[in-house]
Amino acid sequence: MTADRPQGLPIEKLLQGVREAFIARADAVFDFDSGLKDVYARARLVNSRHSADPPAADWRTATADAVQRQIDRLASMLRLIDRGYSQTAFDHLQRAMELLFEIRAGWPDNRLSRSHLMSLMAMAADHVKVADAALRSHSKLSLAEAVQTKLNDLGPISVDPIDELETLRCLTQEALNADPPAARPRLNANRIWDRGQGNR
Amino acid sequence: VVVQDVDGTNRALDAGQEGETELIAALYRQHRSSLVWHIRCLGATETEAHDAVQDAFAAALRIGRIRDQNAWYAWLRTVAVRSYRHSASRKGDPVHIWYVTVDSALTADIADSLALRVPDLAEARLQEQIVLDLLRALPKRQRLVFCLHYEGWTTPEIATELGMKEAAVRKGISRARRSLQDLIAQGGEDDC
Repeated sequence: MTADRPQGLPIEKLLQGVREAFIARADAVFDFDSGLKDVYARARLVNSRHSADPPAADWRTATADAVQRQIDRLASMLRLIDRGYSQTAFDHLQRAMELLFEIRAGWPDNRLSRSHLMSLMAMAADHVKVADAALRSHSKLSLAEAVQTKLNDLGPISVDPIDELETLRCLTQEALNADPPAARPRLNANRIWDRGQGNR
Repeated sequence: VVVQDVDGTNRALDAGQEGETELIAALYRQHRSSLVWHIRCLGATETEAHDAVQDAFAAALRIGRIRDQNAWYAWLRTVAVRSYRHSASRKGDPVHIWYVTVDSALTADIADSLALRVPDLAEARLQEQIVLDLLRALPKRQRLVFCLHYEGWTTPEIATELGMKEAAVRKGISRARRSLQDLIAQGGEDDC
């Protein structure tokens, strides 16, 4: 990766600039210690240098799982809306999902700053609301109704992505505000905090 | 450094292994984000790209001894790409949709985005989305060639990496550049 790098052409400059900005931003917000811990776990090894103390790790896992599962739930709803409903709505929902996944990818150990998290959440909410408006205008259906239509085979399940976003926001705030494990009763494993099947 | 196997057994690493652990950490900090971007350019979401890169580093750990450090970026990239393709095919999704419709409203924003000096997070995200959409509109081979090209690889390096002739690499870069410029111009016209 050396030598005749063609930097002078506008399209290359644009792409290089965006790539470098992405890398700089990702390097700035990504929690490398947690990431390495995950790498060791995937390699089926645990490195003591990257292991947190167990109670704190359990607690963080529980809060992260709750948020991540809510993101999965929300994303699975948003994914139901295809281009056939409205191209604009589809585009905005795709961007909302990208932002939600960014929250999920950056969540471990709560190392994304609160302001950054809430900013991502607010941007995702904006995209969902614009998608809702676009659907109402284009298909005469709200986003919730469109999701419900897609899910009609599953019976009368109440699903409103905007409500689910609010739930996610509350869960996130609860996780950010929560006391460390020593200062609060142990989380009820039968509630939403129970461990799911992983991140995917 | 003490590592714990999955059965809970602790074992100490020897000096060579410990040095390797440090090296993996250094490689991770150096290459993780650029690898994520590369996988995203292939069509992955941020989460999919993150997973693929994590898998690649885990594979690197499992393999053990690191000999040629200079070859690691290419190796990690190859493993991450395979991991992404494997997970995408396992989910039943099409592995790649090589041609996508590019939203002309997005490409029309590209001129504005070029003028941004200090983009805030939302603008940075928009720029990324525009670039990713543009790249995804290219055929697979052109996209791979062009991604490596603008990441700084030389023509001979790309040719070796992808098993192509240098003339074919140059042609691929040229066609990709023309396609991207056309897409941008088309977006600009639609915006008028």
